Amino acid sequence: MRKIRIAQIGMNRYSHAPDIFDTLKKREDLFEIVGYALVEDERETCALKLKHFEGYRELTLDEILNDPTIEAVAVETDEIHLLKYAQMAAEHGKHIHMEKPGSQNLADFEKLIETVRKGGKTFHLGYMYRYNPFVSDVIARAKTGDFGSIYSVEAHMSRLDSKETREWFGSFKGGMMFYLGCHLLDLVLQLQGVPESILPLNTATGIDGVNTKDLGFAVLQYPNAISVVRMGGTEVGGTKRRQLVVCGSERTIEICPLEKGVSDAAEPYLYQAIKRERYLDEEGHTKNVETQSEPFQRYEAMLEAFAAMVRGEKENPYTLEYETTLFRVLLQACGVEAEA
Amino acid sequence: MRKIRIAQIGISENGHGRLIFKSLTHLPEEFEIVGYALVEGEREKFAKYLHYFDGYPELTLEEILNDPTIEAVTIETEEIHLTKYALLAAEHGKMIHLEKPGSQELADFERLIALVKEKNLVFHTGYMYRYNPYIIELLEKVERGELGEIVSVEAQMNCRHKDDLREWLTVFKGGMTFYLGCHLLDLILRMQGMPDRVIPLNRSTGMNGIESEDFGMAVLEYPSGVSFAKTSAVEYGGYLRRQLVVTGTKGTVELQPLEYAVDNKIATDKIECNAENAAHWGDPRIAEPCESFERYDVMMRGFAEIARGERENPFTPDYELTLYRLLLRACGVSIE
Repeated sequence: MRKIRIAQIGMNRYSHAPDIFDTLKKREDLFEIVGYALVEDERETCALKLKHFEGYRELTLDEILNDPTIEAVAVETDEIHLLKYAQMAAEHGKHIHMEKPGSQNLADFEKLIETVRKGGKTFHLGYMYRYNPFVSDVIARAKTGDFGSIYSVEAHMSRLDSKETREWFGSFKGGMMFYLGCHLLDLVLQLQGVPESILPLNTATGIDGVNTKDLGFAVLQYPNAISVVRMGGTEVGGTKRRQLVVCGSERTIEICPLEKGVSDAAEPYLYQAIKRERYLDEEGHTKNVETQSEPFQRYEAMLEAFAAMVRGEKENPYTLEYETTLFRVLLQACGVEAEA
Repeated sequence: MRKIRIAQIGISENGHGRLIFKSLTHLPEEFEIVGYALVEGEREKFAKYLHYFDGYPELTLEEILNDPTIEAVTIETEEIHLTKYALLAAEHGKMIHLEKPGSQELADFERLIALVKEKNLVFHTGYMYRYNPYIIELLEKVERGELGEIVSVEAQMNCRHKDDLREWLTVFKGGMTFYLGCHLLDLILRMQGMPDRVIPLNRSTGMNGIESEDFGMAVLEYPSGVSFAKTSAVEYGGYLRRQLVVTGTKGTVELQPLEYAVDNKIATDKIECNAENAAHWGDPRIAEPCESFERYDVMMRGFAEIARGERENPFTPDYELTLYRLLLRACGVSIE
């Protein structure tokens, strides 16, 4: 199997860059890591995270972009710089795995999508629930009509953030909605399509004097349905209560927690999910079936899929049109006015 | 202990009237049941439920109202008639236990509250979580500040109702929010007070061609948080997913299921997270059940104690009016 020659551009403070690079290292059967580049002020801002790059060559951005043997890049800068570097990578004909969701400028995102479209290369985004086995199953079943008519999706992704992280949410309009809500909107959009309207209700809790939007909340309105996404940055035990609840005319499925760390796991990022499915059996009784997923590694399936797409062995189920639609929905949920 | 001489006015299909009367019969040390009256065509409409009254005298409404020895009544008609009969009872100086939330006319409810205040009558409403031991404990914790500042309350009360109930929901603007959301708004209001904005988002799922608002959703906006009350009438397993989640700066308390059956009684499960036990994703979420209880027996015992003056009703008439106004707004009823 051909290995993908890849480099990473960037390291971020609050997102998945170290995890992605660690997973590239782990999957040497899929990737040949050429090196990494630090951009913006990452040498200072991410100094504590640079150990993840130890043993690999530091390159300049230009070396990565101008080396035609480097066919793919993982763009993993802080969110506000993502589109800038993804655009450069696209212009240099690289396959791209990009940390979600991009920067916050719609025109820049659309320009990137257009460049990718013309270049015909893979564009793969790091939405972290796309490779969760239970989430994938729920989405596949929604598409086959297993839920009947879906009238409500509730998606939660909360946690207890440091004051520093909550202050950093101020980098984005919508704060937590942009940072974590994107993962949830991705799920609602896949399950229910584009809503008729979106009501952004992002709020600053004001705790510890931090006035960023650290409580993300948006209502997605459909003709016969209402869905909500919620993500709190101040919730004690919030990670344990992350959940996806899909209610349809035929059944309800609740995945909670969406990810539960495997106790005493031999490797990092190993999770399980718990699912409760409720429906009527043939005798008209409500069945309640609870199952726990096999352990899964959050980033491995993600990067395995990326490699398969780059090799042309797998089609990316997330089209460029879909990613653009999602980005637009996200901006609306963040309260950013996006032209229709 | 003095027994309260009490009579019941009405019975309904979808309210708690039958169970309230049953609880009165469970509590002979608290109540002396004088009888019951049927109103608004209930003899025909609810014939199948009249056996709940077996062994007790049927009275006319006037007999109940005009008998000064009957000091208290339970008003358990269908929702649309509740305020009308509560007003009659108040005019006749009775102590009142009223099925929640009342009818949907604000002016009538305001008149009722004014009358209750003027006559200094006991006015007790049947919001069904008010006597749940874990909810009482949670509200006390909130009041003592043990959860810190409350950021949000998520309250859900779902079920899988039959089509005839879903059709009946058209009686109310707001459908499920009026019918069940009232229980949840009661809890949010007590924990967070009056919101800056109430956003009614009630919907009709349209399932089986039914057009009532069978999916209730109201969002309550506060200066530093967002809460919601969700009530679906079409959710498989919704009963077991009924929940109250309170997140505060010092901890999170999740009551789920809000109620489940244990030996013909009810229990609630609680998961508490605080700084000490919230650390690791892999830690199991351990639910702690409360001791089982009988929902209406504790409620009616509470009413008896209030009626005898042994305890103060923590829910003042003014609070009930504030809650009622909030409910109407959540139902999308203009109250200006």
